[in-house]
Amino acid sequence: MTNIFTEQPWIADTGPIAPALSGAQIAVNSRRSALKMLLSVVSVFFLLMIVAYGGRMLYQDWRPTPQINLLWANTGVLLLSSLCLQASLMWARTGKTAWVRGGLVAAAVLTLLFLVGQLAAWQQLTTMVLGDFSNPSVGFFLMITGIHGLHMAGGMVALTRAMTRAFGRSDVRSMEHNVSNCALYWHYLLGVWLVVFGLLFTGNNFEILLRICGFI
Amino acid sequence: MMEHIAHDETSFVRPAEIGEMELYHPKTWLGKYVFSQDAKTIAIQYAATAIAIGMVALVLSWLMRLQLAWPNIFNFIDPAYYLQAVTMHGMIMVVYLLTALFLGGFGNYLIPLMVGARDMVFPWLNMISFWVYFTAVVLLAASFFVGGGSTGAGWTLYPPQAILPGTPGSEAGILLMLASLAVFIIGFTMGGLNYVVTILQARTRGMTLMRMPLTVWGIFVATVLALFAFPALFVSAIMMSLDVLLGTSFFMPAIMTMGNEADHVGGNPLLFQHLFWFFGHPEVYIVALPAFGIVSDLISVHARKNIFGYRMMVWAIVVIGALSFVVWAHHMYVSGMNPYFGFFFATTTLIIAVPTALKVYNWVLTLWQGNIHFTVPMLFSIAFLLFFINGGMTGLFLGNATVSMPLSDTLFVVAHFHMVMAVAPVMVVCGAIYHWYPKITGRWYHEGMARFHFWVTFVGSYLVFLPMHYLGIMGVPRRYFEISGTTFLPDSAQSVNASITIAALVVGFAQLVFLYNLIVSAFNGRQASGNPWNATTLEWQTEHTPPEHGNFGKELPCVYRWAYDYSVPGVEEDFIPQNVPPGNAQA
Amino acid sequence: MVVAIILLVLVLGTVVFHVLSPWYFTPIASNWSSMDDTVTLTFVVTGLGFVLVNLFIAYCLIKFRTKEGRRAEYEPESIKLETWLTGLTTVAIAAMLAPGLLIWKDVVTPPDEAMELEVLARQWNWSYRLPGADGRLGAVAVSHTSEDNPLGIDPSDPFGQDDVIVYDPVMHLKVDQPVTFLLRSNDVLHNFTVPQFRVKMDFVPGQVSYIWAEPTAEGSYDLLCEELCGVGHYAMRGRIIVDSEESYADWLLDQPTFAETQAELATDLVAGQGSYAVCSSCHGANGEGNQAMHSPRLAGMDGEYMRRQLRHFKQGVRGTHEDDTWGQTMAPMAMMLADAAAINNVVSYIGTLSGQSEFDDEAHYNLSAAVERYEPASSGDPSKSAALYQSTCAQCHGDDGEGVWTVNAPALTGLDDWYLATQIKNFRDGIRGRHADDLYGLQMGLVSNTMTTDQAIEDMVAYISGLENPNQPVKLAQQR
Repeated sequence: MTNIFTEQPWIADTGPIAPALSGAQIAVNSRRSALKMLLSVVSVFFLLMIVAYGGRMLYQDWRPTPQINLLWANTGVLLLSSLCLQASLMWARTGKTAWVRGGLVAAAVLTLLFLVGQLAAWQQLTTMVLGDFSNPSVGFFLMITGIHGLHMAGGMVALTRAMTRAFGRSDVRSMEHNVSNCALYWHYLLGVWLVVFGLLFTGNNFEILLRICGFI
Repeated sequence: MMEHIAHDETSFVRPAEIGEMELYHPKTWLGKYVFSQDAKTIAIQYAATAIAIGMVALVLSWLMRLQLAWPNIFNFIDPAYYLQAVTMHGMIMVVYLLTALFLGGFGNYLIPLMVGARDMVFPWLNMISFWVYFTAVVLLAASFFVGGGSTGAGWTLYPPQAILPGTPGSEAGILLMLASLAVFIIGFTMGGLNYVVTILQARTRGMTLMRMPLTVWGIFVATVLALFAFPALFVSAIMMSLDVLLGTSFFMPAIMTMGNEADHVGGNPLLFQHLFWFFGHPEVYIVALPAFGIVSDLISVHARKNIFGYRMMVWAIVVIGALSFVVWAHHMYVSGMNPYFGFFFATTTLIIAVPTALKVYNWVLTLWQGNIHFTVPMLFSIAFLLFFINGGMTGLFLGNATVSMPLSDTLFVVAHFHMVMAVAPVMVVCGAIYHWYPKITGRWYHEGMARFHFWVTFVGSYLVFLPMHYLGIMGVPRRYFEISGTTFLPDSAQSVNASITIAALVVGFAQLVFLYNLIVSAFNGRQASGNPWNATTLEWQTEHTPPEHGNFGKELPCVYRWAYDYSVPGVEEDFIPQNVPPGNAQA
Repeated sequence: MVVAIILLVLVLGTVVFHVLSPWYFTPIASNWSSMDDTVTLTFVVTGLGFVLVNLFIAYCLIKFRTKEGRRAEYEPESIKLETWLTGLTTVAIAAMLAPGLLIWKDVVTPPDEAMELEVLARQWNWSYRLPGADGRLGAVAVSHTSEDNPLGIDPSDPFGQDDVIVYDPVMHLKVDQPVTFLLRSNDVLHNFTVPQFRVKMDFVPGQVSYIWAEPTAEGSYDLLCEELCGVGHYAMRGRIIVDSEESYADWLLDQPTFAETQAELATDLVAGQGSYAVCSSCHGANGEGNQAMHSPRLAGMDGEYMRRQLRHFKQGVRGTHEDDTWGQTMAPMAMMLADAAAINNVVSYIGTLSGQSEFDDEAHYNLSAAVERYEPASSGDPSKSAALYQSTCAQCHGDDGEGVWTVNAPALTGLDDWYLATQIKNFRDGIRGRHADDLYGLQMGLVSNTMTTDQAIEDMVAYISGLENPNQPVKLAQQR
């Protein structure tokens, strides 16, 4: 392919034409490409919520989010599930079928545990003093964790598919890209969670950041 | 799925030669016509649904116009009903008609054909995307029938009023609207990922990015914009729903409503406006960029001349798309936001006019020294130019904070955005439908009816929206049920309103002729040949017309040249299709 | 070919229309003529571009139309030409942007000598507040807002005590005195627009936005809300009267301070009873009304509404229309109430009345029926008006006709049906509520326009008669 900045498209090809990709390769590339695109869309989504949070935080009546210690445990669980997927990916590359299966199942179980943990955190929140809905930070907490949780739940669909495939076939190498896509998605959502958790739901980090950047 | 093919980096086999490449094979009638995974069928489903709901919005506009022209004669239109008509007309036209038609309709039909792919890369997702869109339309339509009716908060859905008593549909109507938008966005994201990835990954051999027709470029950049802009609307829809359902205070400050203090504290209504317009302004270009792309191709084909300055045209689309994310607050000069933002947003807004103007120049320079055939698509392209130039010019009024202040919230704004993002894109839609009709149906539309449709729409729409600017300049506010009781408006303002309504009704009925022509000609029209316009792009080079499933025959075309080889010197024919190898062109 | 000619006609027609049509800005009455100049400049520059580009298109369409043997040129691009065109456009756009930005600086910076004026917008009316002698506005909060303190001024803030309250949509300004309008909303978004001033700005609940202008011509100007604020949006009208220095000072003297409005809350019922003696000859000793004399029942009528109407009768805002015979009868009666305190007293006294008729005989009612313009509301069909009441009327008067004080809409229940019908008809026909300073009347007039036939009004009155107002448990009919 020529450079899109210098190409003079009106000049017709005279040399050999690049060979076509196989349909299978197109499919693999497309999935990876779609996943990356989806993740950038999701980034915008979370970024907007964080910006909205920051904008709202600057008002005088802001009350900070209640601290929920359970979230630390949940973070650890999510981290583990992400690690399991990374391990599965490495095993898939080296063809260790049983290990891949185990890794995927572990990741799925840990993810479910994370989701249950998040629900428990909601439960805790509603019993706390600052937990009434008129507190904007509570609204943000519910919305952001809820949407993050929905994304994890959506990822479970893809993970389930990868698992059925891993259990239905002896050769796991051919499904390496499935595992790889799941791993990317999990790592990414772990990253989102770390940002959201670190910035918004542990102490006043976001405020400190805004202060450092000179917005307050 | 695809895993039965050995995954081998070195096996570069052309898709058509790998047996059957993953083409979807419908087994039942339902699978062929309802839950089809063929992008072309999905395109037609999208277009039909969009046009159907668009007709509802058209009728709503007639009701509005009737009230404005002859206030209180039609007494089934009360103030609440009027606001509901205003709101639903705007929202349907912008999101459910134009966005869905350009991206879901034209995008689905044209992307695979124009880049030389057999189908979208995710056909199943594509099918789901349509049915999710369809669900969104059903939810939207349902809001007409719930208690309190559909929302009447204006298509901008500004809180707090959108969810407070005093605004029509503030109970069920607004929630259905928000739900419908959220569903629409989910469906669109599925479709949008598909369009983008198809363009990036499934182009045929030789189809470099810079050889893609501008239609594909327009749809591509618009889709990317939509993917990144819709999340803002999605977030705000969720936040507003939570404000209603859980009593959170994202957008709701401490207020009184119906004489009592509400429970909310400390929310910020302007936050919604920022989020809304962060979506809303790119939305304008989501509608405009596909129109830009398509009209470039129409002008080039029917003037038998290459598009002038293709590279600049591509970069202009990209730059406009990028800039569209940093101009949103020009919708908010008088919103009560920090007025100092006005300096920044007025500047970025006027900067965006430069690449836009360049596009206009290049369209016009394509006509220059051309061989202009006054076909129906060409006529609509010319009409597009007039409306777009007019609407673009008034954009320079409204983008410039100082100039816009006396004009904002008046009918001038309404006239401006109808010119630039309603009538102008609709001209392209009509031109494009006439242009591709022979390919899609294999038959010709009725030429006389098409020309009648053109003349009435062209002249009529201009008569609708030109005088409307002057009502705005006089100070007639938008979204007013009626304007009597003012002391600064001359009585003649009312006669301007009446004349606008008459023109609008005539234009509206001409669209019925258009639809009749489209439907009847699909069965009775004259047979069309495969490439009746002598066009170069790949969709005209298919083996069958209309193209069969899989688009191209046994072998995918190979591209050797750009899409604009018209009237190339030294070649007898005045066009060379993209898939003609260099040596064969002289023949 | 034809399309080229039509294109030319439309483009030249546009220019001719712009130059010759009578429809343009209403004459300016503020310092913002520079804003008009930027509009004119933009018209010239964009108009030039519009005409030139379209003329060029028309030329191309004619010159390069297809004919036998014609072949298009082949020219992929011309970077030079494109660069030139881009450059020229950039210059033209900068020429429009630069003055715009300079004037925007003035728009966002009120001058030091500007006087502060707070405008409170709420669905669907306006009120105003001026800083008193101390030059500072007192603190306000939604939580302080009540019928007795409609602007929500903090009673404990000493700065608020001398604030001048204008609880009416009509406001006066001094000519050539720059004003910073501080815009505050209690409920939803609104917008402050006086077309002759050119500047406008939204109200956002939860914050105070501002805009400034210097009125330069005496006169009376419409104030419009231009941000959709609900069903009553189009009827949310106010009035800004620009006075000479002397008349402004006179007007200002008559306006109460916050402290005064609070003091007036303690009314003198005895004095009120004294004043009511005159009223009772028509409206009855118990405020029961007298249909024969076209005197409505007063007992149960909304207090704020009565105060406003008495004020309007006194000021000649109501009861001056030539067809408003009964209003003309009322006006001189209202003149007998000397001041705001007298009005307050008599209204308070009316609030204590039972509304019980002294002689409850059928003959009395039959007698009056002969002179009525209207059949009793029983001729109306409430089912036909239910939809309109619920979608429109209820937005101000409440679902049960109980009235909503923030909208300044009186309760409708407890009023005589003949009286309701007459008044709605008067509103619709412009007999009532068309005085320039009667903005609530205008509001009601605009809304009653939706009832085009007398039958529609009868239907509406029948619907209202059937409403059960929770605040007024005993219905009129039962009292009779």
